[in-house]
Amino acid sequence: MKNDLVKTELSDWVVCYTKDLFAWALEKTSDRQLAEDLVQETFLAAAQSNSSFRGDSHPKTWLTGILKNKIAAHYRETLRKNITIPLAPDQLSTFFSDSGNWMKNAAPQPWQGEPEHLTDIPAFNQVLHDCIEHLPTTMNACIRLKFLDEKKGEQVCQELGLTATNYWQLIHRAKIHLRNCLEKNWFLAP
Amino acid sequence: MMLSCHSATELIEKKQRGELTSGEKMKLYFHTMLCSACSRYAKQSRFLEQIFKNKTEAATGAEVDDQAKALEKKILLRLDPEQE
Repeated sequence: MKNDLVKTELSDWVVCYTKDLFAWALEKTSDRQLAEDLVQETFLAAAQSNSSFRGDSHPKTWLTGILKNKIAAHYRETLRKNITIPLAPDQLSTFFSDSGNWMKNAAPQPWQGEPEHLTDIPAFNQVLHDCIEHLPTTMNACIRLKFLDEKKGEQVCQELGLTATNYWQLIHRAKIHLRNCLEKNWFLAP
Repeated sequence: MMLSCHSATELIEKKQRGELTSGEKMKLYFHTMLCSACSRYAKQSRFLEQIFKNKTEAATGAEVDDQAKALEKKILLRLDPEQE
């Protein structure tokens, strides 16, 4: 009897929250298939661990928490599979000279416009999306983890056997690449 | 003694995590005072963090709605296969 009740409740949640969860996952991953799979897994996990939902949070919050963990786990796994330790030699040679100074065509230029409202512009979001997708796999996963607000680099490092220095190095590289891509394709685009 | 731009950008990232030592703060301060490219980098890097935090690009539209509807059915079926 109790099981049936739980089942009904969960079905209601599927009807109520699938769309929002899917949209949220899509925003964090920009990958329809992945977003779909992870939302499915979220509900399956919820079905198995319904007893852990104590009703002291909103069901949507609880489900979003599960989904967030699943997305983070996905990108950590991507990192784990693709990373080599020690890190591959610095891939920043297109940005910095041997002496470590900016190469002429890579030095940051002034950006025009109000950055605060840029993400309201669909065309900018498209460029941002393309730039992120063009990042090498490991950097892409790092940025995706940042979207999830995974500030705790330590946890990512522990799981991957990375030192904190390695992890921050990866983020540094990813941001150098991303900054440059946005500059060339948005701010200074012809 | 003088920082390279490469090291300066590393320190700029570290600064955002609030982990700079006072010596590093000083080095970075003098570097960015003299280097316009790195001081731009600092500003733009903060902007990127802002994007990471606030990215709320609304994934909406008929296409998303349709896919979400189909997904909903798929999930209901998986949760309760007898329903079919």
